[in-house]
Parts: sequence; structure tokens; C-alpha cells
Amino acid sequence: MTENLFDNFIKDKLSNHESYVPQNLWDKIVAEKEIKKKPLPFWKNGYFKGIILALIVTGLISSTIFISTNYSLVSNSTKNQIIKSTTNVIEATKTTNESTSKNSLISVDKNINNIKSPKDNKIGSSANEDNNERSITTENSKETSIAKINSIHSISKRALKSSLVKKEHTIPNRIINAPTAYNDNNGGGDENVSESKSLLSKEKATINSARSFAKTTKQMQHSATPNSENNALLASRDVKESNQKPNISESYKDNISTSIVENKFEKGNIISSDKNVLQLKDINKTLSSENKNTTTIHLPDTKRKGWYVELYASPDIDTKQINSNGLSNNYLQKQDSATKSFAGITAGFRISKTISNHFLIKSGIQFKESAERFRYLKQTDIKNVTVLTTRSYTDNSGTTVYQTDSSVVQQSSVVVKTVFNTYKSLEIPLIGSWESNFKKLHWAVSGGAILNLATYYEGQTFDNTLNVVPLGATQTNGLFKSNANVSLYGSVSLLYNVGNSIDAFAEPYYRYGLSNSSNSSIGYNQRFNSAGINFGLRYKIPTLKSIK
Amino acid sequence: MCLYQLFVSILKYLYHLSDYELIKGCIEQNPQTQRMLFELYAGKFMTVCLRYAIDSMEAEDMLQEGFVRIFNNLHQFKFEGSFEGWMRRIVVNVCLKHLQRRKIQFKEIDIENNNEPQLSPYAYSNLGADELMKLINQLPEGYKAVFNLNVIEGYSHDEIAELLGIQASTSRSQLVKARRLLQEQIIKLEKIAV
Repeated sequence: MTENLFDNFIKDKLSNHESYVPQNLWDKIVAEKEIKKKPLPFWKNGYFKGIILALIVTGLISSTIFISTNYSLVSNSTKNQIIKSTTNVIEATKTTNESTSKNSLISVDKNINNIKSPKDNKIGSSANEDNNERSITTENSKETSIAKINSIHSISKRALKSSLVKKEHTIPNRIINAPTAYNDNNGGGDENVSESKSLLSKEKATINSARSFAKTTKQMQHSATPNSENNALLASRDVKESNQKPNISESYKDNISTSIVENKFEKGNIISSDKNVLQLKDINKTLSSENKNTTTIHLPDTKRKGWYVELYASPDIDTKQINSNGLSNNYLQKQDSATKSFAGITAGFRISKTISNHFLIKSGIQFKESAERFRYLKQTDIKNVTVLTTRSYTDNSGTTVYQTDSSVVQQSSVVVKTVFNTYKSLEIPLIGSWESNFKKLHWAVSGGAILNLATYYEGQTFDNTLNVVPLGATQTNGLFKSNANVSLYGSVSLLYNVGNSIDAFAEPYYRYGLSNSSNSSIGYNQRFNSAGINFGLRYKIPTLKSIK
Repeated sequence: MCLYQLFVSILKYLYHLSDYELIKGCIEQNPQTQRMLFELYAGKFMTVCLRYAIDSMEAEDMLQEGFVRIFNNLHQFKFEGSFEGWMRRIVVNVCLKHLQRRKIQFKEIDIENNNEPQLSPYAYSNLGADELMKLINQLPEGYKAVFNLNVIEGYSHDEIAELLGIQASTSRSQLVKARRLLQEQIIKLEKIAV
């Protein structure tokens, strides 16, 4: 017989053979279908998981883009300001040199000094009034200068060049007028002095704006000035300063003071009168205050203030507390010995807001899952076995008697069943945190409450008669609450700055359950405490101010 | 065409149902249609399950799980090929899953040295399906699985190897051994009958 014949025979016989199907099988299938039909809790839903994941990813990407955009904006605006300030410095230098008159240079410096030292009472009452006006003018000029910088940012280099050419034509005229006005002033004409000062104050304001971006200015001055003899004065000073003092403020101070000193000893130098000479001390003060004003405009906010996003995950260990609420201690012992807690996990995100320099409030959403082993003995089969015992004995007459006794023995078999119960919760943390730092290392102490939004139970447990029942809060018996639990939360955090606006942190914590998770009908009170360590990252959300 | 197929066709005719309507009704969770599908195919698939299961209890579990899977995945049926074949494949997969839980050992057997018993077609022609089922169920687990998959379900050795996680050569050797054992049992049965 060939194999094929045999195989075909078997196949023909069995492929369409029908066997007996128990009648209750369909009912079992319907019951199983019904169980599977039950809607999943929303956090088990794939769409929900996807949305949460998408939100987290979007948040991360947005933060990264914001941070990078912020720095590119800052660098762009800084570049523009540098270009503008360089232009202004070059213009000022050109102006002073083009005039070739020492008097005009002195008058420029003098007027600058007057503006910079409003407290100088030696000029007289009219001079004081002028100083106040000039201070305002200076501030306005700064704003105008910033506005110009921003406008220049949007135009092409060609437009920038044309504006430079225009300035080169306008500024010398004003400067040329200045010495005359100043000379007139010495002759007793205060009004002319005021005019000349106000004209020069604008130039001064432009120079001030240039000073705030000093380092690059120096470099650009080097590149711009060597070909121009007119810029020799400033260029030579800058070369010296670049070798000696890297700070542009310092170099600028030296420029001014040097020009004052140099001009003071020129013939016919009217600035030799002590009234209008600015002391180096005053210049330093003024420059330091000027620098404060200018540096806070565009640089990114590095202080600990604003909003943060924290992403974290934690392995944690849960402990269960069971207290009697009408049931015997024997029952509680059995219940307790049947269960053993396993490690859980917590993950979520929080938004933090600084309230003061050290205090933050945090809130967000987190998912917690705890596992528990439930082990019990299940009686699988009971058999009644009849045991027949036959005994024989011989009486005195020699007759052998057989006696048969019957007894019934009940045999039962048990199986140790192990079920892993899971408790899944969606929670809202409400936390206050006090934070301080030492260099890059921050530390914080936090405390607050964790509100339970919803809990989903899976598994089995004993009811109050030690029968095994489903654990689920959504089941008909509803042994446990599905929400409204509150826990107290306390933690100590260590944060380390790992990059721009990013901190990595580790946060050991302890949670103490305030309310019971069990319903009163169950006969005992059950609450959970847990401990763990949150590991995560904290991003500082860039503020609109810093982006501008 | 066997009696079973005739029976199914009559039922469908009586209910004025085509495969398409049957599937559509089941996808729409119509309990009556689902029940009808169960009634139509349960006996046949029970045979499949019994061939893989240790006992009837396990076979029931397999069938139950198989039908739940069929109902849950019915929307994935693309009307390419036989609907019954598609369902049978699901049921077989469920059976194999149960086999995997039992962790059957498949040992490679040297088949060259064994002599094949001589079995005449007359010896088994009178065997009924139930008797054959009993004989197949007496085969060792590994032999039984490979024999069922290859001879009755029509899987190739490569497919069996993939399904059971074994080598194709192991599948071949298991099949030869299974066939030989089954034939020996049939011969024994014949001797007893005589």
C-alpha cells in the first residue's frame, strides 16, 4: 500500500467528520464574548495611549524648537545690534576725526560727559535742567536705536549701507556746529550750549547703544577701521585694549577718558574748565548702569523663574494595610497571607510654576500600576470512594466466617492557584516644592497630595466568606472603590543641569494613603502606601519675553 | 460531495444565507447569525480539536477559544479562498497554541533502519471515523500533531516546521513514524477482529 493511498483514506474519513458538541458550549462562547465586549477603561484604550504619547512627543519637540528658535533669535538680533553699533562707533570715530578740530572732539566728549553725569552741579541750574532733558533724550534715543536695529534686521545689507552713507553725511554737520556753540557758551550763550549738547546727545545715545555689544564691536572695528585713516584714533585704542582688557566697556571708558585727557592739554581747550570735565569715576558709574540696561534686553532668561515641564517614571514598592471592619482576625490573616505585593511603576508629567525665587507649585497627570500576587487553594475534584474490607475468622466449631465491611471515603484534590492582581490608577499630583541650588546642582523638598481620578482592578480576591471573587471594581460586587482616593506625598529631589533649560532629576518619594480603597461592605479596610524614586527630565519652557 | 456539505448547503438555503450574508451578520454582532455559524461548523471543528487535544475537556476549550477568535477576527476575512478553510486555520492555530503550552518534545528519529509494516487496503477500509480518531489519539503527542497537520490539514513540512518551531526534517521523520505506528495499530486491530 502506498503512503498516499493511506493518507487519502485518513483525510477522507476525518476531514469532514463531525463530533459531538456539548450543548452548553455556545453559552460559554457567549459569556466569553460578553466579557471581552466590556469597554476597556479609557487609559487602556489604544487611542488614549496614542494621544498621550503624541502630546508628550509634541511637547518635547515644541520645547526643543522654542529653545533653538530663542537662541537663533537672540544671536540674530545680537548680530544686527553689533552691525549697527559698529556702524555707530565707526561713524562717531569718523565724525570726531573728520572734524580734525580738537575742539569739536572735546565738545563731543564734553557733551557726553554732561549727559552722563546728571548729578554734576557745577554747570549750574540751567545745565541741570538740560541734563534732565538730555537723560530723557538719551533714553528715547536708545529706544529709537533699538527700533532701528530691529528695522535693520529686516532690510538687506544694501539698505544698511545706504543708511550708513546717509549718517556719514549728517553727523559731521552737527559736529561742526558743536564747537561753535560751545565756544559761544563760553562767551556766555547757554542756549547754544544746550542746542549743541542736545544734538550731540543723540550721537551719544547712538554710541551708548553700540557699547552694549562690545566684544564683537571690537573685532568689527578692527576689520573696518584699518583702511581708514580717520578711524586711527579709535582703532589704535581698541588694538591696545584688545591686548590688555577684553571688556569693551572698559575699552570704551578708556576711549572717552583718553580723549578727555588728551584734549585737556591741547591749546585752547575749553574743556580745561573743571565744570564740564567728567571724572573717570562718574564715567564708570554711568557705564555700569548703562550696561545693566542694555544686557537685559535680548539675552535668554537664565534665572529660575517661569514654567517647567517634568517628565518622569518611577519604579515603586507598594505596601498594603488591612484593618478589620467587622471581620475576624483569622480572616484578615488568611487574606494577608494570600497576597504579596510586587513592584509597581509610576509615570507621568507635571507642569511647574515658580511662585517665588525658591518656591514652585506642580501639577500634572500620572499613571500608576501596582501588581500583587494572590495565591489560594482551589478544590478541583471530590470523589466518594467506597472501601470494602473483608475479614475472616474461624469460630470454635471450626467454621470460617467472612465478614465484609463497607465504608465511604471522600477524596478531594486541591490545586494551588496563583493569580496576579493589578491595580491601575490615573492620578493628579498637587505638589508644592521648595528649591535651592549650589552651582549646577539643585535640590528640592516637595510635599503635597495625590488625587486619584480612576482606578481599575484586575484579578481575584476573597470575599468576606473566603470565596474567590473577581477583584474588579466594575464587577457587580464592587469590593473596591474606583476613584476618590487621596494620598499624601513627600519627596526630596536632586536636580542636575544637563543642558540649556534641561535638568535631570532623581526624586525619592513616599506616599501615604489617606483614604481606604475598599468599600465598607467588604468587612475590612484596605489602603496602600508606596515608596519609589522618580527619574526624569525637567524642561524650562521659554518665555515670550526671552523669545522677543 | 459529502453529506456534511449537503447539510450545510441545505441549512444555508433554508435560511436564505450566503457566506457573505453569514459573515456580514456575524460582523454586525447579530446573535442569531453567530449562533447559526456555530451550529454549522461546531461539529466539524470539534473533530479538529479532538485530534489535537488530550481529552474532550481540552477540545471544548480549544473550540470555545477558536470560535471567539473567529467572531473577533471575522472582519479581517477578505473573501479570498474558502471561508471554512479560513475558520479551520484559526481553529488549528488555537490547537497549536495549546500544544505549545504543553511543550511537546519532538525527537528526530532515524527512519532508515525501521521496516515498514505491510498493510493491505482491505485492513482499514472498514474502519470508521471514530475508530480512526481513537487510533490517532493514541499516537504520541509529537507524532499526532505532525500527522494531523500534514495528512489531514494539508500543511507542508516547511509550514509545519514553522508552526511548531521544529526542523522540516524532524517533521518528516515524525510523520513517517506516526504513519508506521498507526498502521501497526490498524494491523493489531485487524488481528483482534479476526
